[in-house]
Amino acid sequence: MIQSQTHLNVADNSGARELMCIRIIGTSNRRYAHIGDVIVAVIKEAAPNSPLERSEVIRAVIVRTCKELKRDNGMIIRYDDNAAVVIDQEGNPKGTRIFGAIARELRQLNFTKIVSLAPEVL
Amino acid sequence: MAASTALFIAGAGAGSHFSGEFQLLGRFEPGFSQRHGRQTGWLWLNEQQLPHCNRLCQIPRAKKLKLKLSFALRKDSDDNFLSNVEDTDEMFDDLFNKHGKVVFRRNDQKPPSAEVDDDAESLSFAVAMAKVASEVKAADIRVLFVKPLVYWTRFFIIATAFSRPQIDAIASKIRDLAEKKYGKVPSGDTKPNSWTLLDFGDVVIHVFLPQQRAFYNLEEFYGNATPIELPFENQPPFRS
Repeated sequence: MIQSQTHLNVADNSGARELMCIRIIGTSNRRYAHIGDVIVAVIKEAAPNSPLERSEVIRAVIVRTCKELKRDNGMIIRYDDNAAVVIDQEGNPKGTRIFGAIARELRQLNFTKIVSLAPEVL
Repeated sequence: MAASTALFIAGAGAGSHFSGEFQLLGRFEPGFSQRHGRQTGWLWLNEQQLPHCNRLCQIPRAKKLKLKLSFALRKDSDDNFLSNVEDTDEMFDDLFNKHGKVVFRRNDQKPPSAEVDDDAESLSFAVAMAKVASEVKAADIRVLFVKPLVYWTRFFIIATAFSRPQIDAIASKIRDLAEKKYGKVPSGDTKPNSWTLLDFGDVVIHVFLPQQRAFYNLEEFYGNATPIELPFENQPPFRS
């Protein structure tokens, strides 16, 4: 359940460390975003000497949420943190590697690039 | 005393099998033995007998008497230890024979032969796609068998194109052939992109511009995957 003003961790090596969601892309008046949704976010904290800087506005895909993700087979996945991967306007990830486990739902949502860079797919 | 013997057996067993583990135990034991004065002799002897232990321990003469005793005990205990292991193995076998049927397999799992057939089918599809890419002058085509590394696909095709129109040509030609000949429609990028991805389920095709290919370096990330030999001439990575 990501809404605007939610702070998220960054699950890649793009250089951003922490994001704050400011808008959910796709609908006009949606309250919450879940895994696989694209958000507009502002970088609240960035690693030094990285191409991304603090207070830059970027797009990101949510890859982990504390809110449970339910599957049709009854499986429920809940992560410890809210995390997102920084992408550019074309949908390519800004980082080259993804950290941590991600859900396979991302592949159905056409984020196979993120899935193919991830070390573990649940 | 019974308790100390039990500890001793465990230590000897672990020491003879895994020396590293024993050394860790060995470091622990003197501290432990200080609290229980009677055990000191036993534990120190135990350390000296073991071949992998580098510690030099000086044993007071008074305690040498106990050495033989502990040797005897150690042999016994070793035998006991080994026989215990066999017992447990047999026990597990018995348990498995008795209750093995309780652990059932999923019915929807395919037999290994079907898996091999599927692999072969995907391989032929992947090689056909790689050939199409090569016909449109894609360079440095690699086909990787990634099934042992990731569960979600079987083959990766990684290729380089030198411009967006070329990427478009490669992607559209692959799409056409896959749809006509194999009846597969890819998901993934529809527009030419600096990293264009076509997802056929069992085969995932990545077409990069040279810069992006070096940036994402997928070959390194999937370095443990088995490369597949291609039956045609591969273009060199860079134009001369």
